[in-house]
Amino acid sequence: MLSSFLKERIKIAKNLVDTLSKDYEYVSVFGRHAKGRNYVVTSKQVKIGDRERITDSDAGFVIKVYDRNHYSEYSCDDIKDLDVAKMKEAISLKDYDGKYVDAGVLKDEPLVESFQREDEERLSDEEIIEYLTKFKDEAMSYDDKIVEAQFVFSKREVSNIFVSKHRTLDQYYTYNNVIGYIVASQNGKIQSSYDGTNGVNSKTCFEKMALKVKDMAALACKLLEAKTMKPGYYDVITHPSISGLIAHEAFGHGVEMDMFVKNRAKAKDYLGKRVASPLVNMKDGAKSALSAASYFFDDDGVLAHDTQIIENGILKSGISDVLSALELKTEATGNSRRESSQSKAYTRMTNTFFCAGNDKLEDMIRSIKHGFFLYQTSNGMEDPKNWQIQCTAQYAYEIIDGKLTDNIYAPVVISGYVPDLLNSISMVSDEVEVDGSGMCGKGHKEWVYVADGGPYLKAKVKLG
Amino acid sequence: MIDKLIACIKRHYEISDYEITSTHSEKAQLFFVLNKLETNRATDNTSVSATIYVKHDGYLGSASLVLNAADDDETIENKIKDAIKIAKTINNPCFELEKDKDSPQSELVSIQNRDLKDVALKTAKAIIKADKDKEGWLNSIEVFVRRNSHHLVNSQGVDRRFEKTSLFAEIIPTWKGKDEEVELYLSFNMITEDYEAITQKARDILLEAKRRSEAIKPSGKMLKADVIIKGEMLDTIMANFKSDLHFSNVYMHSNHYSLNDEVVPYDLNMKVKGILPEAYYSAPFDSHGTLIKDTAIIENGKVSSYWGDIQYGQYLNADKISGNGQLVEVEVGKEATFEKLALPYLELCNFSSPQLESNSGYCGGEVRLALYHDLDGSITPLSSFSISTNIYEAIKKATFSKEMITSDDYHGPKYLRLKGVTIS
Repeated sequence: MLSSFLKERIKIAKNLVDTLSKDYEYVSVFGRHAKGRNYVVTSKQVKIGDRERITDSDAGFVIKVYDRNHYSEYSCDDIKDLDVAKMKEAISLKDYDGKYVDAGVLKDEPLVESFQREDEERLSDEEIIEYLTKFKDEAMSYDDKIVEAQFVFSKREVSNIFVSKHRTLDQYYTYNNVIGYIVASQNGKIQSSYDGTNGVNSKTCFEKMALKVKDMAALACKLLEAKTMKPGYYDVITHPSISGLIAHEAFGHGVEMDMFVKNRAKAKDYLGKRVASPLVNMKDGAKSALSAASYFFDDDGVLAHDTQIIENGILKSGISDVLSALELKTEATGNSRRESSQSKAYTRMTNTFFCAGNDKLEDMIRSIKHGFFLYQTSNGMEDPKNWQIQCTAQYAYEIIDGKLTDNIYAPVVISGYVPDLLNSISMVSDEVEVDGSGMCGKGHKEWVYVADGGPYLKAKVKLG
Repeated sequence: MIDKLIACIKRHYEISDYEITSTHSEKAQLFFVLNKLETNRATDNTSVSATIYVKHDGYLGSASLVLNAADDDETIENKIKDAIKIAKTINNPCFELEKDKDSPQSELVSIQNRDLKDVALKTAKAIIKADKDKEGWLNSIEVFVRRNSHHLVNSQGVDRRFEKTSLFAEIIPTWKGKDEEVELYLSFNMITEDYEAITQKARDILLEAKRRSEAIKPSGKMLKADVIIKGEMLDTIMANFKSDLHFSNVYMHSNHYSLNDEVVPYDLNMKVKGILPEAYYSAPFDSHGTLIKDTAIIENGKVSSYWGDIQYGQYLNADKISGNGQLVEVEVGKEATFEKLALPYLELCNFSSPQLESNSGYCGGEVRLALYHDLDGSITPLSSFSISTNIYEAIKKATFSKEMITSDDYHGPKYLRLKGVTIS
């Protein structure tokens, strides 16, 4: 349930909004209380503790005001006994003699609502360590080549309040992850595999992970045989995690509308135009799927959305935070997200994924004469202005004459021009998976939890 | 908060040791769109983290906790009780906490101006000053000036503090080319107020964007040229060699090299350090309170020592505990250095995101801007291609510039020349 710390501050926030409204045309108070705990079991150690990352262990407030021609924010630990004069001095800009964006005053439509999403399968510390130890033992005993196995359970609870003149919202939600990392070594070569599960309910996360441990251990050993990919263009099938990475990097960042405001995204000129194969449909939204990036309202008090970004290959919409929407004269899509109570809100993705098609995976594999099946996200980087992408898959298996072989390659870097990639999608499977284990930065900072995914896709891409 | 926490810990006899770190942080932030101010921010926050240790049955159990404004006296008491319960279930090998109460040998360099807003405004002005072209401009500027005050105490009497004021800026330049607009990305940290240098950085990245607008895809002889690595990719490569030799990686069997292994067949020397005058990640002590000692980890091309923190160092029975130094210093002997870059070569200027996979040694990424320096001295800007190599192999035949540089976490040769890199 909503943290008592924030519950006790709702009335104080209302009084603060009233007081500051005498001086500012718009005032809001956003409160955040996040609690995160990590349970780590390695071959030699056990660790339990609060997660130190500020996204996960955070208590504080953001006071946002519109000051004649720009927005100012003050972040502090507590609004109880806040020194308002000190706050006003800290955000005043009397020495600035430059220009302002001046987007105007934010809308403040009346709404009072509470939201809640609980972990209904909470486990004790002992039960959690027992699960993790079992996974570690299973991995370590799989093969003599396994030299290390680490399993981590992360649980997170987030409480938020948002108070403005006409809006009072509060929410509480939880989310959990189990991540495994296994290292294999032979003849001086080292390789590792990793995988994870996630969800609202703890026990289900562990049960899903139990089904993966053996495969992860086998993969770590198999990767010791991995060959280097010969650079070139290939037919590929992407696992849902790679489909998600492409959705996120290829188009997700490109439709963050704060990029439109800064004229940083080519997508701005393509609204209503074809950007992908007609088989491609793509969505983003905190309401579009259930993951670590699913909330009820965003960090500027806008309710969660389910936004159709690409429909049958046509770019339909971007996603936006409140300020970008104000500047672009569009509706905010509930994508204002802050790394913590100390951070600015930017337009950020939530659950970003390609939608299902009609093809069967077996038919997709059968249709490839020579190509690769790409698995497991490693990392990616976007270039929204020039639509270049770079994504790394942890490994790939070779497909020869319509059959998946045992030939493994690792790592595999996908790069190229986004429209070429999206237009090359020729088959889309009928099943979708959305995974919420990752984090995403804006530039190289401001990390928030995101999820991505999709169906299996058949495409032609440049691998290296 | 620290006093309150210590008082609470001392009420619980089961706790054998503790470490507490408090960080008070103040920031001034400015956000510009096309050189117009959109938002300004001020922050004032304190966070406290602690680890409590409980000795039981020949083991050392521990639990860590983070405290913030939401924690009243009752919550802190409950968190401590919970931490003790957890620690009693954890059977980790014992180690002794830091006891050394000596003072750091070097002073940290830090911005001296106490007025963070003033530094932020001057920084923004210095960046905007660089925006003077018709065909190129700055789309986005973000400036963060922060003063962090760190305080660490432990149950063995260690009580250390340091304060650092620094600035971080992010600049996105765009250049209008013949066919389309292109952009690049630059972010940097500084621990001194040098506004001329800031203007120069902004100017340089604008001109790099101009070059990207003129760039073509590499072909022919360009695909076989030696590659010059610099900047973030060079830092990433050196940090990987350093990280490989960390006590924790050795303890977890994740290290690629072992003591006395030959990393390169030439005179390469690598040291882990705590403080370098211009390096942003300089810090006098680590999270256990251990003063960072300069430690040679690679000497004459061979692994001479592991390095790291007091916990994993004791687990490995290390003679010398360096502490978790954030910086790496590299020196290379004459035979592997060059005075002047011999033509032709491909200078990699800007990556989407430099990639280095430590297990396999895969190193590469998509290049946003490279410059091909031909035999006749002509320079051709290149873009939209990828490079890849195995760094553990490529480093054996590498050469380094005599010209040196200090970045956020690295001091050493400014350029690294690699042969046989795949360009595609």
